[in-house]
Formats: sequence, C-alpha cells, structure tokens
Amino acid sequence: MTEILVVAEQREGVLKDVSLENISLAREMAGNDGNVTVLAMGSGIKPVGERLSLTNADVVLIADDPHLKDYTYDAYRHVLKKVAEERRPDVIIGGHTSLGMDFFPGISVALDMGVATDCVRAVRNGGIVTVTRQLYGGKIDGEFSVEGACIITMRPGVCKPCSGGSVSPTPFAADFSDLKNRTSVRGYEKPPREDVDIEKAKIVVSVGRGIEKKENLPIFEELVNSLNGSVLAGSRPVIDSGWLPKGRQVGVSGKTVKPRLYLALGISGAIQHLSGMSGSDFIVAVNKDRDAPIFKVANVGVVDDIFKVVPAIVKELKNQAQAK
Amino acid sequence: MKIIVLAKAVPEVRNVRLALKGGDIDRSDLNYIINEQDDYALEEALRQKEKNGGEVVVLTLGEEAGRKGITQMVRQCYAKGADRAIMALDASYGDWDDAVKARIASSIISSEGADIIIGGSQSFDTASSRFGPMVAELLDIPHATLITALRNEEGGRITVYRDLEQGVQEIVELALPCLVTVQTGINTPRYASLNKIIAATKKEIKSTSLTELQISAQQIEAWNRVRRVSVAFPTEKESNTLFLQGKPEEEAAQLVKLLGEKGLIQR
Repeated sequence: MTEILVVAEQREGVLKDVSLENISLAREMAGNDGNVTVLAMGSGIKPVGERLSLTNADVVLIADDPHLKDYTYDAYRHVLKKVAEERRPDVIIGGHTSLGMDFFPGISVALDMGVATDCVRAVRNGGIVTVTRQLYGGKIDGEFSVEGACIITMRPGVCKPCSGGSVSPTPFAADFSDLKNRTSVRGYEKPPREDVDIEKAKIVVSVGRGIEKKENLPIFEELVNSLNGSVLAGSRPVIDSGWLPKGRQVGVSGKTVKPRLYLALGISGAIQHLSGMSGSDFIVAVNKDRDAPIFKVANVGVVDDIFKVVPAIVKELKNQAQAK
Repeated sequence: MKIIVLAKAVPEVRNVRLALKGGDIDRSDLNYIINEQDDYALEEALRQKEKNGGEVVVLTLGEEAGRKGITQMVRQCYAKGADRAIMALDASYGDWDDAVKARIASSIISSEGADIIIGGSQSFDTASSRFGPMVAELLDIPHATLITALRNEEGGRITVYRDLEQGVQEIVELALPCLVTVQTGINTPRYASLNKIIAATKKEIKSTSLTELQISAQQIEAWNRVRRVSVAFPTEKESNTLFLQGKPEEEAAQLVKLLGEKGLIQR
C-alpha cells in the first residue's frame, strides 16, 4: 500500500498553509487505497492538531514535546527518523520554506532517500515520482525523476489546499533521552518598525538590481513624488546593498504587498520576490531583459531601459498635472 | 581557523536569451561567474581569516567543459585573498544529483579538515539549496542555513542569524566544526584588483578526480537518485501581459494614459 508522509510546518502554534497544500498533493499521490499520514512537531501545539483533524488525511501524528519548541535539525531528525522507520513512507512531502531548506536535504542523506526541493509540480506514476522545478532564475523549467522512496519539498502556493475531513490526532511520543542537540536557538528578532509602511500603500514603486547604484535612487524618488499615495520599495539586492532600509524589502524574507498598483523597475523577478508582490491588483514591469520572469506576472510590460523610461514617465505626469 | 569555501561557477544568464541543447541549456556561449551567494561566503571566510588568522581554501566542483570559466572563478577567489583551491571537474557533472556532489565534496573535506565550511544558501542555476546541509550530514557536523550574520563566541562556538519568513531572524548557536550557508547581504564582497587577478594566474590550483578519491562509477550511479529528464522554456500561460512598444517617451505616454484610464493613478 502506498504510504505518503506529510511533514507539516507550524510556527507559534499556527499551521502553515503549505502543509494543507501538501496534504492535497499527498492525497493525489496516495491514490484510492493509499494512506496519507501527517506529522506535526512542536511544543504546545494543540491548535495545530485541531486544525489537522479537520483535513482529509488518514493519520495525524502530533509530536508535542519541549525538545521541539524551536526547530532544530537534530531534534526534528530524531523524530522524523523514528516516524519513517515505523511508517516506511514511499514519499515524504515538506514545504520549501526556511525550515524546509534547512531540514530536508540533510535528513534525505540520513534516511538514504533522494530529495528534490522547491518543486512546482509533482506526480507519482507507477512508483516513480516526477517533479518540475524552475531553473536559471525561472527562465527554464526542468523535469526530474526521482528514484525509489524519496523526499520532495513543494514551493508554497503551488498546490490547492486539501479538502475537509475528520481524523483524530494521535500523539507521537518520541524518546529524547538519546538526543544530542548540536545547535540551540537563542531567540528571534523581529524586523524594526519603519517610518513608511509599504504594506499599506496604494501604489508601490519598487526598484531592483537594475538601478545599478545608490546614486541613481533620486530618479525613482522623483517618480514616487509625482505619484500620489506611492511609496518606494525594493527587491533583496537593493536592501542587501544598503540602498534602502530592510523595512522596504518586498519578498519572502521581507514584506508581502498587495497594492492597487505595483511598478517593478529593473527587477528580474526571482521567485523570492514574486511571492511577495504577485498578489498586487495591477503590475507594471520595466526591464531590459525580455525573458525576465517578472513579465510573467505583469499586466503591462515595457522592455526598455529604466533610465530612459522612468524620467519619461515623470515628465508625462508633470505635463498632465500642468494641463489640468 | 581553517575555512573551506564551497564555491560554484554558474553561467551568467541575466539579460541573455537562452538556447536549449541535448536535454539541457546550451552553455557553450555563456560566461561563468561565481555564484552570487558564494561570493558572500568567500567574503565572510576572508573576514574570519583577517580577524582570527588561519587559512581559506576554496573547493569547487564542476563540469569538465566549463574548466576555463571555473579556473577564472578560482583565480578571482585567489585575487581576493583565498590561500588555496581544490577543483574537482568531471565530464558527467551535469547529470549528477546534489547527493553525488555532496558525497564527492565531503570526501575531499574529510581529508582536508576544517573549522568552518561555508557556502552560498543557493545557486542561481539549479537553486535547490541541498548541497550544503547534505555535506554537513555526511560529515556529521552541525549546520545552519540562510544566515545573515555570523559572530564568533568563546569556546569554539559561533552564533548566526538565520532568515525566516517575513523578515524574522532566528538566532542560533552552534559548535565548531560546522557548516553554514549564507544569504546575500551578510557583508559587502570586496572587488579583486586587476593586478591581483593577473598575479593569481601563476598560482597553482589543485585538481582532484574521482579516481584519486577512489569513487567508483557504481557508487555514483547508486547515489544519483534525482535525474533530469528534460528542460523546456516555461509555457506561456496565455500571457495577458500587454507589451508597450515604441520609444521610451511613447511607452511612457501610453503607460500614463492607460494607468489613468484604469483609475490606478490620480490624474
């Protein structure tokens, strides 16, 4: 019988959406007579068990223990190894998240299973798992086959959440007496509050690597000044270079924005960026590279030099203001 | 302090139209550059050396066909201050799963020995973020991925900050020896001066091979679990993107008109 194991992810007792998405994928892979097991790890995670009990998984295992309060590779590996030994999964599914990136590659070696990460599609046919991954910054799609029992991590948001159901959670008691934890979490640091809240703005003017240097920022600030209700934000390279403060970062490790209008200027559209802005109502992208992935989410595209187009937009806006 | 930097030369594909060839992209006309995150890893290693003394060794795996570009990348690392480099190139590299690459790297590292192994959190070409933590598991040492800061502590320990989602940082302490993978922005990588790059052409790069490492074709076959079936350009999902045409002034005028008509900007 096919056994698919979903490793659910939670933070502070809140289940991540990708876990529900992965249960629906597991259901597909398990087929009619297969079994879907979900494992959640944490400490004091009763709400997670409650949420998982309302899904169409077959078995929900809750490893609730103070050793699992924070994610640490060793404690998670300890539990997953035990669960994998018991359930002998054909496929283990996790999320391609910060935790997933840290955890699954190593555990794949420990369990001697192949691992494919950041998959945007996955199917299992005749015991073979085939996945699609994005390569070269989203310019190429690659299809890969994974031999034998394997681990896959899915990009958040690519699968639909699972259907409802009813299953009673089972506590999974792991003995931690032989655990030697080599890393310890000392705490968490939340980002500092910023003067400008880019999440609330109606218009976000966002600049990327294409602006080339900090000295070029005034060109884009002028556009912000000409557009009522707009704020200046940036993609990771701009924040990394210290050209804009951290609070202005759009993307996975920054903020998620959904303005009415998003102007992406000199941004190629790495997935980490796209996931932070693709929910915007209307997206305009200006980039020299016709194949830049940003154009795939844009409503309007301009394949041209930002240093020519942006001043022209500013001029056009000024002309209009004067004409009124 | 001995630090091994895991560096990868990747094809530069920004502002380039790619072509496909034999189940992969055609690399023959592409330039190789150091993978961006790996450049930050090298910088972090050099700063460790400047602070604590020691040695920085660059380890790179790659395909034989990319030898020229990979050699140039290593010279750049030398010009920036790396002390030694080890290169393991193979004609089949392009068909290998990270599980194979990680085993080759860990075999080299275990005979080298190191206090810190440091690499980028992902590579631009395949972006699977598997290599580093796999190497750590194979070497049986602790690891931390996606780090944005590294601080030395007393008693052979380090504290790192890890990127979680939504700008939250996780503060993790781990004992040496360990492996970390860095995010961009952890530092500002230095530039290599032309003089130093020229001087670096004379510096030896140690080469090793599967034969020398006593890794057999059968082992590679057994480790190679994830195999590329095909590559393709992403299917345009009936792209609704409206591309504006003309000179910059014309494009700007069309855009402002369109945004005004849609009520997205105040006129």
